[in-house]
Amino acid sequence: MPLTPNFSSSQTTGEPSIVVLTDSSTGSDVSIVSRRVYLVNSEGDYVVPTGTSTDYVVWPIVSGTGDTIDIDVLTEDAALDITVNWVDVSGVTVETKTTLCGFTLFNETFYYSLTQAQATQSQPPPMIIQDSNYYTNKMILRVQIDSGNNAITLGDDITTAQNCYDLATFMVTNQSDFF
Amino acid sequence: MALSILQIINIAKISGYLSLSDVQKGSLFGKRIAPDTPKVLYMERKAVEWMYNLDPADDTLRLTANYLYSLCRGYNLRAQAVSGTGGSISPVDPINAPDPYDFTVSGSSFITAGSTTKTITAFIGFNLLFVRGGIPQSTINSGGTYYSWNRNTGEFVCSPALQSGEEVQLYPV
Repeated sequence: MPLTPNFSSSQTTGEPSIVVLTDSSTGSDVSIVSRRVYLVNSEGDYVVPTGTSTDYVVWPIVSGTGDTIDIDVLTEDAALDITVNWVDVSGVTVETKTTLCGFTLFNETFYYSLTQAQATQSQPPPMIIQDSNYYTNKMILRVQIDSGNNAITLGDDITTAQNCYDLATFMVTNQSDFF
Repeated sequence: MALSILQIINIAKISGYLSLSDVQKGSLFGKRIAPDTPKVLYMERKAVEWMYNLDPADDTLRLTANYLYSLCRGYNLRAQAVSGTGGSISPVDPINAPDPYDFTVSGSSFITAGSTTKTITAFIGFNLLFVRGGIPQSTINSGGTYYSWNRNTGEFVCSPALQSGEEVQLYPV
């Protein structure tokens, strides 16, 4: 059965800088010996880990389907166009798959930490929810993250998604002003 | 039987629209005491649901889910009836955590001025939430303030060092 290329992306709690890719292809092709991962941000620039001299990250074939790779590239939430090329021994692309993905673990972790803070502050004031415009700002942060995700899943729009994530990142970076 | 995290999330979803409907009735029968309840339920449910989808075994979920359930007050039993899980009052799983620390940094405070480390044996086995100057801190070093916590050894490290006069809260979760 010929190879039908596919992959998924995810992140792991506590490691927001790392993009995890999982090969979910079906079928096989004996000519394929490796994979190359291209990460492109909303500016059209390739994103690679520090010390990488190519535009891509090599993803060796171990078992094929089910293989995972951790790519440490993020410094903040980002929308990335991810292309995986399945290549032969000469480096020629045999199969390719591109997916637009959103990575929001930096801001989502902060958002969750606010809820944790609310849940633990049960004693008398001052409490975090009494800060000026606390819930208004928290809702704005929620809307920005969700809007970025919707721009990806519904609009396939990397520019708008990154804009939304950047707005959320601004609030988190300047958290003392908003929360 | 105690409510599961997923049951609480579903109760919060239903409580969200029940509370919104209730607030709408306020225009006819008098303003409701907490008109922001639908928005608050939505915000907190999204946080808990995000963590549940990311890692359903995360050990902070019981605390935050119980908090979410507490916000459903007034709607939780109707929500259970709507979802078909009603018929009895289900307890939530309790959290038996040690008392938090809440202090102003000085030369004789729990963590003294100028310090960056402290071994907190009472919190061993728990996760730690570090609030500095009223702001929850992150364990991610993104160039600002951050901290680390080893739940097995009780070793707490913060950066930069605590300064005299800062308000600090340490919560076991």
